[in-house]
Amino acid sequence: MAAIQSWFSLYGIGSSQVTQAQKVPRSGPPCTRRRANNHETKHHNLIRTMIRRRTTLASTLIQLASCVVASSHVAPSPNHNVQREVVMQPEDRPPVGTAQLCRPRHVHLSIGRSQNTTHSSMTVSFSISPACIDETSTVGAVRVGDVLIEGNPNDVISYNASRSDHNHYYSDLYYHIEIDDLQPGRKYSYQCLLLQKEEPSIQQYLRQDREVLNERIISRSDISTFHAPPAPGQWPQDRSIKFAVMGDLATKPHSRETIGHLDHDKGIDCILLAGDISYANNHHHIWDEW
Amino acid sequence: MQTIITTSGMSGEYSYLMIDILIDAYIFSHLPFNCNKFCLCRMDMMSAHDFFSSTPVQIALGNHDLDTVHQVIDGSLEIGLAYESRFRMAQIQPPVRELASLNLFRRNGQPNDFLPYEFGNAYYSFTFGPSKHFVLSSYSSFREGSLQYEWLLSELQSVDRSATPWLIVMLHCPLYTTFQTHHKEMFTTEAQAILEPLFVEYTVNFVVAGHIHAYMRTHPMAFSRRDPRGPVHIIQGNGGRQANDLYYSDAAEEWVDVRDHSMYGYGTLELFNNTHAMWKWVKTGFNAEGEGGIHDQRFDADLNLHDEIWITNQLYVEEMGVNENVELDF
Repeated sequence: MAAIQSWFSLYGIGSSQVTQAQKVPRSGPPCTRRRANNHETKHHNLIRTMIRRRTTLASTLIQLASCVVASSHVAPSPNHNVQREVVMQPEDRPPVGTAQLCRPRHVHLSIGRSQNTTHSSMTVSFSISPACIDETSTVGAVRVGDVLIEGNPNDVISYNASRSDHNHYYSDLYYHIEIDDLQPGRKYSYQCLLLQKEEPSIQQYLRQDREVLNERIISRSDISTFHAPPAPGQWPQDRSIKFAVMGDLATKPHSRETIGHLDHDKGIDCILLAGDISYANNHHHIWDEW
Repeated sequence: MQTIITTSGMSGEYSYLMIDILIDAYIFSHLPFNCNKFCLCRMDMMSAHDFFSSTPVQIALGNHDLDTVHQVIDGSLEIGLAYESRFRMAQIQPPVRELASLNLFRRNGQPNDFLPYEFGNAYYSFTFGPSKHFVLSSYSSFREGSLQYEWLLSELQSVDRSATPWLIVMLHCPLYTTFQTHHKEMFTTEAQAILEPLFVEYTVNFVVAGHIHAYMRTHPMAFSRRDPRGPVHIIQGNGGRQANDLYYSDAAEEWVDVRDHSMYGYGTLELFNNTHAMWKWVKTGFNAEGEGGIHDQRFDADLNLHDEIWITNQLYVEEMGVNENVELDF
């Protein structure tokens, strides 16, 4: 019975909950976490306690509140799920509590190292709040279509830019997971995940294992799509290739204006950003805002 | 204090529940659910804009990405820590970053010589369908014999122009500038002396740069003269930080086609086939009153200025018998 249910939910058939969920817009994106330097470890312990104890009365209340807030302020996008080649099941509720706090942030893409006529690659980068990371029990991962790729220890990086006793900065953890073996030019949907580690870790999972995976998920990003880079010498069919060129952005009102325009400039395949990205100049919280 | 008394008066599960509620309340109070509406804390730009998660972003190393200010360790500076941690380009090799001695920097933290930073996100190449891209580092040595120069030379020699007829170079400091700021900076003058011969010899189509907070596009040019087989140089440094640079001379140089120092924007480069591409400058904003600072060029803004132009692949200019006049101005 459970298998049939999962089959139905996988294809979005016969479940009113799924269609409902597609209408529920995502809640607002997470914010830069405020750093309480001297209470860092205390803060972490509290949140770890919360991760262990997943459901509480208060998070139910927050969930209800966030549904109201989100639905009243964010307009649903009607064509959001239409053009995906590989359809993923959308989240069944907006993230709350731990799922919101530990949400993958700064999700961005860059072109990977291997590009040839049959295979291309893309690097997916995202950051996780250090409060959510316990190296022995959590791991970042990317789900592309039905394939799960967990991050290697080499893929994860964080840094400490503390300069003196009174000025500490510990960065988020950054995952850079390179997805190989993509079909050049094809459209993929993907999602960044923070998972409970499982021993031995699975590199790929079959469709029947979806429920097992769902139990492991601590937090997840929105589902997005990308086109795998075209193979060298390959032109897309009936379409041109369009690059956007930007430079010297910072986080000022005019920067947001420029990027806001790009949001509406459809058909851009790749962005060339010619340096001076955040103007952090060693104030790393400005990097966090970018 | 009240809390402690309350919880200590309880026992077992109930006190745990109380603590959980307090934790949730704490987190809730720090996490607004719609940052656009209730700006308790600022939302990061990558999360705010969907295209970051759907379009690859290829970055070049700028002077403000080095994070040099005050990062002193035993009399040296650690450079590019955040730039290497937060981004991951298609690297040739893992980054080699050494501590940079303080005399490589001016007092304001800006570099005044090449820095010990190789590979990683500093310089790399990638292919995107019919175009081959080289992203160079203005702040790693590109003098003859340097790692970057030797890598670039070998890569340029191995490019198959029948598969990738477009060749695009991106670096932070421009080779040519019509503006006062950074006009005589060594990263510009040396790039012109060392890199331009390579770009002309291997028929680079576009050289894209930033650094100067303004917009400029040249005609196809080589060695300070118009040349239909030379690269088009573009400065697109008006992304949002500022737009107020002064011109170096009132009359534009003969190789300058369009220049502006008062508007914000970005550019799009659309490749249609092996021979034709369209460059377009998209204007997004203007300085508000007083925003431009001491060099406020607000009143110079020419609102009718547009830049949208067909560019013929310099590789085929001679075979096709095309001259400069074929460029169609809109």
